[in-house]
Amino acid sequence: MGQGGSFNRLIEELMRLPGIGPKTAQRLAFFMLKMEAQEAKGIAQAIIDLKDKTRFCRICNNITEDEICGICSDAARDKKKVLVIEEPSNLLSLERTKEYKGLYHVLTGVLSPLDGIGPKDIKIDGLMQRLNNGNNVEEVIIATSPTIEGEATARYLSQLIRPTGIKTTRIAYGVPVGSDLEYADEATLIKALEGRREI
Amino acid sequence: MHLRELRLRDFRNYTELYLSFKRGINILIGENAQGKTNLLEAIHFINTLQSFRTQEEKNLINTSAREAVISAAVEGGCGTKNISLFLDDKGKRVKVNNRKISRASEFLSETHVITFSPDDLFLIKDQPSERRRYFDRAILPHTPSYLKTINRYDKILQQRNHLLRDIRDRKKGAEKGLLAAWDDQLIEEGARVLLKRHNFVEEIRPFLEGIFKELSRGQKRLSIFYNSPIIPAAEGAVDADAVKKRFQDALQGASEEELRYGHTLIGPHRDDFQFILDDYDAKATFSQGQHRLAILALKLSETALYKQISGEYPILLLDDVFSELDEMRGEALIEQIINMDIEQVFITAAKKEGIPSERMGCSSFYLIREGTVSPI
Repeated sequence: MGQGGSFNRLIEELMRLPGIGPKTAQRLAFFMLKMEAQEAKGIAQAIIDLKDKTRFCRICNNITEDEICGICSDAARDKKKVLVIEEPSNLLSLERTKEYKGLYHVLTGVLSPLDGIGPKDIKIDGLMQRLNNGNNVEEVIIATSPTIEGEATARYLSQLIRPTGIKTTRIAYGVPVGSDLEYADEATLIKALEGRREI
Repeated sequence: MHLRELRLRDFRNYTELYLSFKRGINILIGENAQGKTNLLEAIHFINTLQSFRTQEEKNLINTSAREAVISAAVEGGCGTKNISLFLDDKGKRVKVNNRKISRASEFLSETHVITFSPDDLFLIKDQPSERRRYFDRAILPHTPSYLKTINRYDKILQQRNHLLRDIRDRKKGAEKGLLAAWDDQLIEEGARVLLKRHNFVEEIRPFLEGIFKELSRGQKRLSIFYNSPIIPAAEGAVDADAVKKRFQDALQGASEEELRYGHTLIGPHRDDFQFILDDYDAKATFSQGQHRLAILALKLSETALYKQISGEYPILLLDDVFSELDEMRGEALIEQIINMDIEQVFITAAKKEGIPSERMGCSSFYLIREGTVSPI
């Protein structure tokens, strides 16, 4: 295209990112070209730091800069509850609610034979160690997504946890808050009916 | 419901067409390759967003054009629906009363047509998978969310089959204990599929038996059953919990065999729909003419069932029905359509002779020649 090699290389690299096609990559590259050198270097450094400094919490697999994440090391958190989720991004959504005060366990995936993902490929062993190591956990809340893979993972976990005698719960399914019943599909409505409760 | 207006631009061999139609029986007459079936296809397409002849939708665009447009005004219980559809090589865009439709499932409950095409004649003799696909599609207009149910069941099935193969081949990390995680879901969604199909067959059977009796002038008895080891055919109403329990038991009984084959052996994906003619499996005993009559009876039964459930008739499209029916059966068909008082029917035929037209007083006839349509 007549532009320099480093310019084209940046476009190629940006296109590796999810949701970025050639047009967006080109726009970003032109934008960065016009940026102050300081600013552009700031972006580059942030990416380098991300890779150098962040790692996964030894206990819950959340992202952290220390060996143990801020939530696991926070004395104020309720250590009797562990909430199991698929990805660290789910943790951010749950933390934003400021409702949940317990601990987390990030599985980093769900069971999916089609993708060759079995129990050893996600952090199930780590969860069982936490539960068996006398940490006095009283409740495990399983919050994997209501996809068939998330559901299968939830059921598998409940089988594994049952012998420990620890109470295992699954988050409720149902009609989204603020939406109209008319727009809910049959499967959602049936689940919502099954999960009804007295008021 | 009935089609009041149809406009085509560059759809198949029609470059420009505007037609208005009346209720009752509309007969489209024309020689081969003039555009009779194309016209039915356009009516089918605008009402279902699918062609009954091709998966390749760009084949629907006139070869000299880059885009096709169909628009239709359909009169029904909820007033007029103005549907417009724009098709090019990128796909189709649909609007109903100027509201954009982004998902096919959103469109499903808008209007309905039932179509007989000569391709349907294979239904009785074809593989069970074709019959399952046919009836699953027939159930959809009554329960649009059924599409989600079958897709979910299919996904669970694929996951479970893969796991069974992994266990059989002793892949690392694959153990029997993992099966239970998928079984509950297989049973839950599978029971939903089983019940929908079983109930559909129970509902359509009385119509099919009655209508076939009329069409064959009482010579033969035709019936239909849903064949599943989980729901015995003789049972009428079945309860969801009982179905789940039996599914579970059957799955347990088959577990060793499943691990040997690496495949799920129990469930709606193995079931079949069986046509019975005078107590025998129709697959073996049917003649060519009986096939045609049975499929026509099935289409009329679907039409009657839709009316019973939704309160109005779908539009009925019959492509080339008279060609293999003798005079007596052709008359019986027209009589049946008139007796049922179906709101609107489109029938194609090669020539006016052989159509029992004296029996159908207020029908409209159209002549189709090289992509033009004129009332006669």
